[in-house]
Order: sequence, then structure tokens, then C-alpha cells
Amino acid sequence: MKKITDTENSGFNYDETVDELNPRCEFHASDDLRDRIIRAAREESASTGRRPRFLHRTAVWLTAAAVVVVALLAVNPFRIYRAYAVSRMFAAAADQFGGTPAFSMEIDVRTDPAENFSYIDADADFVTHSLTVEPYVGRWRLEKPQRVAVNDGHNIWLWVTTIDAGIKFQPTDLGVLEDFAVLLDPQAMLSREESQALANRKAKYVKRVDGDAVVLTVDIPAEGEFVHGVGRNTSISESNTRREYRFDRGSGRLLGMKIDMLDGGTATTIVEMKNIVYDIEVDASLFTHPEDGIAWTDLTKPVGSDLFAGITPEEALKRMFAAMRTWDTSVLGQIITFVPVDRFEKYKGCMLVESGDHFRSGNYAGVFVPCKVKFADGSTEKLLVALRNDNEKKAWVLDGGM
Amino acid sequence: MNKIKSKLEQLENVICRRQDDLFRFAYMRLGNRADAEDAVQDVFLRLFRSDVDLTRVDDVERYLFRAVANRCCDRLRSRRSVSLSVDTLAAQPVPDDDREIHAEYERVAGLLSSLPDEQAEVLRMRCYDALPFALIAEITDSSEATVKSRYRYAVGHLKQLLTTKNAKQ
Repeated sequence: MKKITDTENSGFNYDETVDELNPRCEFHASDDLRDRIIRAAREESASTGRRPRFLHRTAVWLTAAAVVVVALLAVNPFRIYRAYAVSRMFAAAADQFGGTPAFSMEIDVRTDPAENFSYIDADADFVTHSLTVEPYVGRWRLEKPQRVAVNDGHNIWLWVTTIDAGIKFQPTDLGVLEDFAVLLDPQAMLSREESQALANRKAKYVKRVDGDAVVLTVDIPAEGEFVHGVGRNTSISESNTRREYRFDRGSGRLLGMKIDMLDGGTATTIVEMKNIVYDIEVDASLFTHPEDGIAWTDLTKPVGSDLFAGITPEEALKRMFAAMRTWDTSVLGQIITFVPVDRFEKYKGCMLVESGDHFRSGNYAGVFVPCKVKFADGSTEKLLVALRNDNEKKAWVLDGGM
Repeated sequence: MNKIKSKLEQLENVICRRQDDLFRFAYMRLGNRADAEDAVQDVFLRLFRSDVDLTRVDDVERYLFRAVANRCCDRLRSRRSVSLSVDTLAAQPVPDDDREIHAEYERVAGLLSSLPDEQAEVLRMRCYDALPFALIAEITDSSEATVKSRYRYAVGHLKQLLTTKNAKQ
């Protein structure tokens, strides 16, 4: 135990007095405290736990940031709210979610109805998503006009209604939902904001009262590298953003949240969470998936093959296009694992003409490889191929389209 | 899954390194083992859920002490709201294993009882928890200059108190 014997920079010497306050015995936490904490953390990590947690790389969206905060604070009439008090607001709102058996909300997002849930486009119109969650059971349903994701308590089922194709995931693999995974667990989201308030000295908070609501604006400097620019402003975590939370003044409940994308001097609302309804009764059929009419790809089995492991992404790309040329589906099936191989039939017979060095961008877990291919009819196309190897075998797999 | 495993290992390292310090911090404010360990457990779990990089020691330390301080405030506030008096708390039986640390808690609480809360807290954090002034300033949402000023007043006040007490003896 460190003993304070001087008054460190205070300019006074009060050794004797301070000695009176030095600890005179050792304090030890109970022998089993560490085990209790680790056990609880492990249970939370497992989706089968009492209250599943959704902490994956997707969680980083709430660490996104704002660039105009200094100018804003210089002119705004609201006082900068202290981190200490702010953390309490988030903690109180998080507790409210912790006590509800089920809740629903609407989320307006500027996006394409058929794109990935994480995809945002500040120039696109708003698409309304509906989300229903049973936090303690771990079941949820997220839906927009052309894409639905359901966790039935055992697996995640994601399907695209326009092409009648779907994927079955492990319930722990919330990367499929990207940023939306955070919204499935608002309690964790608010706890994370609470931790930001406590740990991040760069975070700025502005509070104002608006009728029966308390509005809290959060600005935190951006994270992520965008040397190559790819990925910037294509997801929430990869944009400069400002979050605005609305809390009920009486109960402390979260009423809504808004995320603005800040691009230069322009602020555009890209996500708005609204109409949050607590303590709802949910029909169990909401958490089921269609048995017929959808071509399901089962990704609950391990992803990645030895053929694409232990090589560079450039080599993986060459191997993939070599198989495209002869349309060797036995090889293609080992790198195209997220969707049926025939989705890429357009590239049947094409040849890789050139490829550049791979690079990373933003928070994306994989790499991008630029390349150019030549089709059988002589036409060419430039592609940016996303490959990832964050699987057990470290094998490269094609991620999404090309 | 590997990420989670790795984070659990990092969490375990942080717990091993800091659980006793945080327990002492919480006990010296709450005065009983159950509440102190509840606060510490809650904070470690919140740390695990958070995006704080567990390998960044400075960030973790800052987070932990601020969060435990918050939890202790919450707990004390909830005690007040159910009108649990200090006398009632003192009357609660202390387990044999905790007699020494509880006596220490009462000794320090007694020394600090005549000080304003803000000054007492600065003194407790600086002398008992050996926290740097900069961190105390963060935890208490004050400037470092204010913290040092409170510290000087508190130590001066305490010195006067001890001098008077010794003179009487």
C-alpha cells in the first residue's frame, strides 16, 4: 500500500497530520470476489446467459465523434454538463431498460431498404426499421422493407425478402447486424455512454431542458483510420457523428436518440430512434423465421477452409478468380461462404487482369483488395473486393459483394 | 469468441491488480464488506461491457476509481432515501474477520467527521487511497487547483484538531 508522506505539489508540509490518515492495516477483498466477477462476465458474454450482452466490434459506433463541437460550445447557451452527473443520467436510463421484459421502437435510418443493416447514406431517404426485443430471453426481431433479422433464442436468421435468400448464424455472431447490434441492447449502449462519460476526458456533454424531457448532446472525438478514404461515412462508426439523447425528466427513461453525421460544416440526421414503448407483450410468432420459400445458407458451422488459409489476401484473390475462370464451384465454395456461389455467376469465365495491394479502412475487420477483371466478351470492370479472415482458421473469405 | 476470451483474461489481470485497492476505496466510504464488494463487482462488470481498452492502464485506473466513487455515492444516497441512520449502520454486526478494517474505517471516519464533505473526500482520496491530485480532480469534477486548495484547508483543519486533542490529553 502506498504511503503518502508529503503533500505533493501543494506547497505545504503536513507530514505528521497526513501520517494520521495513512492506512494502518491491509484491506483484502474476499477470496472469491475475482471468481464471482469473472463468472458473471463470462455468463454475460455467452448468449445463453440470463441477460445476453452484445459486445462485438460493432459496438464501436457509439465512440464516433463530432468535429464542430468547439464552435458549437462557444456560442451555445447551454452549460457543459459535468461528466459525473451525465454518467448518472445514462446509468438511470440503462436501469430502466434492465427492468423491462420487452420493448419496441422505431428507427429511421438514411439507407437503402435492401442494403446491410449497417449501411448508411446521408443522401438517401429515411427507411423506417422496427425493432422488438425481449432482453432477458435474448429474442429480437429487426425489420426494414426488404431485410429481416430474427433471433429466435437459438440462432439468428437473416433474410432478404426480394431475393428469397437467407443466412443462419450463431447467436453470438452479431457482426451480421453491424451497428444495429448495439440497439438490441440499449442498456449496454447506455452503460457504454456512462463509461465514456467516466473514462474519456475528451468527451463533451451539453444538456438542455425541453418541456418534460432532458436533452443531452454527446460529442466524442472520432476513432478509426481512413488513410484510403474507403468506408468513411458508410456506417455510423465510420462517420463523424453527434448523438442526442432525450430522457423523460420524471422517470429518467430514454425517450429517443438521434445521430447526426457531421461532414465538414454540414450536420445531417442519419439515425433517429423514436416511439420507444416499454413493458410490451410480444406475440412469440414475431420471433420465428419462414420455413419455406427462402434458400437458407447455414453459417453456424465453422467458416473458412485450408485452401485459403496461410496466404496473403492478394493470393487469395488470384486463387478465387482462377476458379471463377473455370467456374470451379468446389474451390469457390470455400471462399464464397456467406451467400450461394451462384450469386456470382456474373463473373463466370472472367479473368483477373491486375490487382493492387490490400489495405484496411475504418473499423472494418477485413481488408480491401483493388483489382480489375476482364469478362469473356472483352469488357473490363474495376472491383474493390472485401476479404476477411477473422475466423478460426484465419482463412480468407469473400465478404459481401464485389 | 477469441476476442471475448482475451478480454476476460485482461479483465482478470485488472481485477488481480486492483481489487484490493478498490475494495479499500469502497469500504472506507460504505463501511461494510457486502456493499463495498457489490460496488467493486458492479464496476468491474461495467468495465468489461465498456469500450475501455483494458490494456491501457491509465484509462482503466481512471475509469475504475471514478466509477467506484460514483457507485459509493449512489449507495449512500439510496441509504439516505430509506432513512437508514449512521447509528443503525453502526449497530449492524461486524464479522470477526472484518473487525480490524472496520475499526480502521471508524477511526478515519472519526478523524474526518468534522470536515466539510468535499474536504474530507479529498483528504481520504489523497492520503488513504494515494491517488494523484489530477485524478482526484477528475473524480470530483473539480479543477486540480480547487482540489489542492481543499487539501490544504483540510490538512490545516485536521492539524488544528489533533493539536487541540493532544493538548487536552
